[in-house]
Amino acid sequence: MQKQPAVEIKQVTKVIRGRKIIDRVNFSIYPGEVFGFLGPNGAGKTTTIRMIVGLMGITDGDILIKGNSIKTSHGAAMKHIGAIVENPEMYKYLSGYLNLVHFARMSDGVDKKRIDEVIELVGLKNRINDKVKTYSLGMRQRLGIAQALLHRPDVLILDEPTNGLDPAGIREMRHYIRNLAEKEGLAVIVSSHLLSEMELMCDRIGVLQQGKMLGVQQVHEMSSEQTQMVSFQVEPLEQAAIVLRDMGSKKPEIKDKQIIIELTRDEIPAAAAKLAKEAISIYGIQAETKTLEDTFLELTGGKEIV
Amino acid sequence: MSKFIGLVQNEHMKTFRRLSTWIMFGIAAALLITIAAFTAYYAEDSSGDWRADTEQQIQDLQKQVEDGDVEAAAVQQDLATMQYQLDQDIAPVQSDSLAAYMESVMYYCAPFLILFIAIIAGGLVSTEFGTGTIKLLLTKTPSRFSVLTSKYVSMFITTVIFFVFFIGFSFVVGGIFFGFNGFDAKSVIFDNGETVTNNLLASTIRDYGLYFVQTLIYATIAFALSTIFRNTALAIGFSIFISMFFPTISFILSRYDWSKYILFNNVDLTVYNPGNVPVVDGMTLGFSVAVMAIYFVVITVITWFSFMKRDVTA
Repeated sequence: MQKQPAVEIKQVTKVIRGRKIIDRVNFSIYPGEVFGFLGPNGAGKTTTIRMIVGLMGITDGDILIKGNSIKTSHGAAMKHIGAIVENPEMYKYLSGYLNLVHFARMSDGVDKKRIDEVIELVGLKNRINDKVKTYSLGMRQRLGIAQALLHRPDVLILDEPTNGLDPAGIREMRHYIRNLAEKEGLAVIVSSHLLSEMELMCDRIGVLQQGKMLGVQQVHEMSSEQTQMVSFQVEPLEQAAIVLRDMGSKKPEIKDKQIIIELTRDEIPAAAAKLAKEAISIYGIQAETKTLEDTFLELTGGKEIV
Repeated sequence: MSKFIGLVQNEHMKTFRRLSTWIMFGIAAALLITIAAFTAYYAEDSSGDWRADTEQQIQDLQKQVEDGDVEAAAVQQDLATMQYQLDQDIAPVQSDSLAAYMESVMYYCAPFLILFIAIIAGGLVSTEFGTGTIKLLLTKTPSRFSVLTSKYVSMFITTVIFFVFFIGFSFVVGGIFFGFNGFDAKSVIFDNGETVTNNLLASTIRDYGLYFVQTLIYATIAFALSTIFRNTALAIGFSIFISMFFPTISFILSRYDWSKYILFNNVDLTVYNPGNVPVVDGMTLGFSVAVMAIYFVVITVITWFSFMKRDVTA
């Protein structure tokens, strides 16, 4: 797939007061993919995002949005970007509609029809004429996305999009982001420190620590290579533990009337077959997807995640 | 260009959809009506013959001078003015007339204009930082230069609106209280040893114009502080402090010749009206305008540079 990248980050370095906040970070994001930006607090996620959208200057290197340098052609680059940096802050004393009118005036070719279209898209039709101060966080988040999509951008940047949302809201947001990438072909950059969230949402994940990009990995690649904790609901337990003794890297554990064992993805059916062969009743097999967290911890050297 | 107009429209929408802006108009309206009501209530009975009154006043003053109660020089101007009024048959302006009311509104309420505009200008940039909306404002296609310029243009237009409101509202209120007449009311002014007359309404409008320049300078300072400090309270507080105390401090320094280069000794252009004297001898209208222009350019260059170059971390 030799697609032209939507966003290219080239050897970007940011120095603030003599301190290197971002150190030669390099990566590209392609149309139609959701790119997760992972890292502990203070790793430089927000700084990198602020540099992509031109809120912060770049000390060295360059960022290209659809081939336009954010440094030299801000207007041309920003035409392709829709962003929410940190919280979806809107003018609270204005109605949701006037907020959208405000941002429509700042962009080219956004007419009334497009505004209504976007309102429909994010499902705010019933409350759009209410003042933003009466909105819940989820509604503000949606208004923020409406604002970001108004000018039909090719790149959507969402900093901590699920922050402060309830589980239903998180699920909705996730669904929404996947949809934008798959159906509309947008390149989406999402930052988060919620690992499980990222795994469900992203195609690729880049891990940033202390201003350095530790690696970019495919999410699925990550999952199949790594081991995961698998729990077997079987009967009898002791016998099953003996059967599974030789599998996995560690000894099987018996907990809450279940056998918990660390296996790779390919080993799971093999283990089940083995149990079945020994005439052990299997009531359930559950894989706990902790792999990403493990990878993350491995990459960041087991230091604090949050 | 149409996009720039859109930006100015945006700023206007944000200013005039705020309750605080309308509270300011409300305060101004209440103030103007109160002044009119008090003026009407306490007005002296003017049904008498002004010639007789003026002659009586002249005699009283002359008697006081003869008795040695007052210095002759101290009342010389008053005497000349009153004699001029008698000679030229110019009735003194009654306080309960439209022109006199509009003039007193200008004198007593003009500081409120500086206050209101400083509050609006002082919040224009910093509230965007305070609420975080600056991040949305600067991640669109318009450059930082046009975003800031649109804010300044909007502030300028808002200042004009406030001035038009003061003039228009005081005209209507004055007309309702005192009648729409006396447009040719003249005041007599003693200027450079000569007695001259001027049309009171016209000079009031002229003084509003001169006051507009002063307001704009303070508004520019508030706007600059708002942009540089990115803090609304600091910007508004500091610019009101400056508008209240710096002119006084500068005036204290006016015995030194170099003080004529201080901005605050130049902002009040009404000192060049007939009958007034500049802060430092030898200052001229052209000089003050030039000094203000230089300060204006320096302040705006710093403001724009700061806004365009600094990182946004809000």
